[in-house]
Amino acid sequence: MSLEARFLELLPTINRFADELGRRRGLVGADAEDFASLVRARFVESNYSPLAQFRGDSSMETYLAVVIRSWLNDVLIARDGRWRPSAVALRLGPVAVHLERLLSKGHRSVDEAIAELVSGADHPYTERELREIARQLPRRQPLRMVRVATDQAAELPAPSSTTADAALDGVEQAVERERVTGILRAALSVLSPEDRMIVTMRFLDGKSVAEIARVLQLEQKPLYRRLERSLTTLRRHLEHQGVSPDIVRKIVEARE
Amino acid sequence: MSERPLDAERVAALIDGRLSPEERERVLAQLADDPDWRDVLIDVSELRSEPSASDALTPLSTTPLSPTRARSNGGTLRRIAPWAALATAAAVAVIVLGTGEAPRDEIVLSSVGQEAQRLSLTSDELVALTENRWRVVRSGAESLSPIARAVRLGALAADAMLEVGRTEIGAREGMAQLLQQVEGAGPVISVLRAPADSLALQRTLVAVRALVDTQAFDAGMCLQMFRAGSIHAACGEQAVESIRQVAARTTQSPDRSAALQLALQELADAVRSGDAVRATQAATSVLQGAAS
Repeated sequence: MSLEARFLELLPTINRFADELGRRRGLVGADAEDFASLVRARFVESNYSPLAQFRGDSSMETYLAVVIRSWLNDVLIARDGRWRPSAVALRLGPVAVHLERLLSKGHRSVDEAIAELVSGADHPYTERELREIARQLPRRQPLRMVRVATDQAAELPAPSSTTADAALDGVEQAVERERVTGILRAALSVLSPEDRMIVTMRFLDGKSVAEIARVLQLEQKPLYRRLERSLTTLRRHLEHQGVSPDIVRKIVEARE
Repeated sequence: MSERPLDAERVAALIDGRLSPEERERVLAQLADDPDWRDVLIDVSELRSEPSASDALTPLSTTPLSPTRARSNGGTLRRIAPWAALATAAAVAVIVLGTGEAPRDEIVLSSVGQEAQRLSLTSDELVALTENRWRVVRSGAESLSPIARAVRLGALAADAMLEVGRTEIGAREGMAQLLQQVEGAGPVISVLRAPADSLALQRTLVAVRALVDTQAFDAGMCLQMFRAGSIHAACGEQAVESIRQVAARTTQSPDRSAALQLALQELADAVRSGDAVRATQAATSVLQGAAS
């Protein structure tokens, strides 16, 4: 069978994966259609090279899903840079991811983002439901530049000493965060690859133990104990390096 | 020696469980340091673990349990005390909202325990659903998809809340039956079948929820709260989202999307207006349609 014939045979599966994987990451409406088109175009323009390169080490379906999902990374990075949706947004669904992207990457206010989503009307959410979703999203919007007319600038309040202190504290915390992150990275290397992956998925990607168990195909119950052991190892390593649990907790809270 | 870079097929082989232990370790080590490939792994694993359209989700019942119908089914029906239903809803809401973060569990369990104790005092005014339903649950246990099983477990969890402090343990027994198909659920099954106070039950329900698809569990729990006549707290607008998500994940036929959207809109409207009967019908339609 020619590669083209194989591609045509697999096209329904390819379309389904493109749609489903895109939707998971907040691609809706025209964005979703664009991604599905891009996927098909990549197969055709590369002379179906993903099919030609398939060695048979995995099932074809899983392989296709992985190929398509990795292409989605390119699209998301081109659109959003290194921005990643929060675990909460992913849990709430595609519209929540879209809303979070507008708030955080698109620098919209909550009102602006919701107005945009309501006018888009490619989802069934009401304004009230969207506000409820926005309320649940973690607050991590970056500072926004605000245009101020020159003649109004003098009337702006001066930074208070409290604000200045907070800024200084912020700098100190950033330096400390860098230092602790370096130590933490070294500590993680002490763990086995699988334990490192478990800790990373739990605390960096915000996945539940049940989700980790499913993804890594591990029994869930022993995973709690295993995670606890890994954390004990990490804590010992950090304390040995002079990093107290309190500092780690503050850094983790700042991340959240 | 430089590490062989990750490629799509190695990640796919990991998802399919086709790597040797050594190769699996190597791939995991690379994935731990690569957030982009980790995203790929997580999304595709979740996609591949979902049921196909034929692996259907069958709701507990296609219609809300009206008093008349409950009696005609041969079940015993007791009047629902409005405050009792609300207290149950609040308790269930706390479970739904609280199980995502381990550090909150103690607070959550304490709150839920208090609610359950209040419920145990309402011995004469408590909802009881038909005996028929438990038989349906048992007979269906063997062939259920993971999502359908989670929906039913959620529904039974809501009923288990209502049984606290009573002699009947139909809901917990139903959960135990369903959990027999779930790997690693043995200890939870034993606990479910043992006498339990409110606090112990909450802990058990949290454990059950962690064993299954949480969105589907929440959807089932809220569906059952609607059937019990309550729209409250997390089983209000959040329920719409859970049910929407479950429907989205189990629907593969584009033909269903328009009907689903209508049913979801109906559900949202019913929840907003506090109409539990309409909410039950719409939620049931959505969950049933998702599998057709």
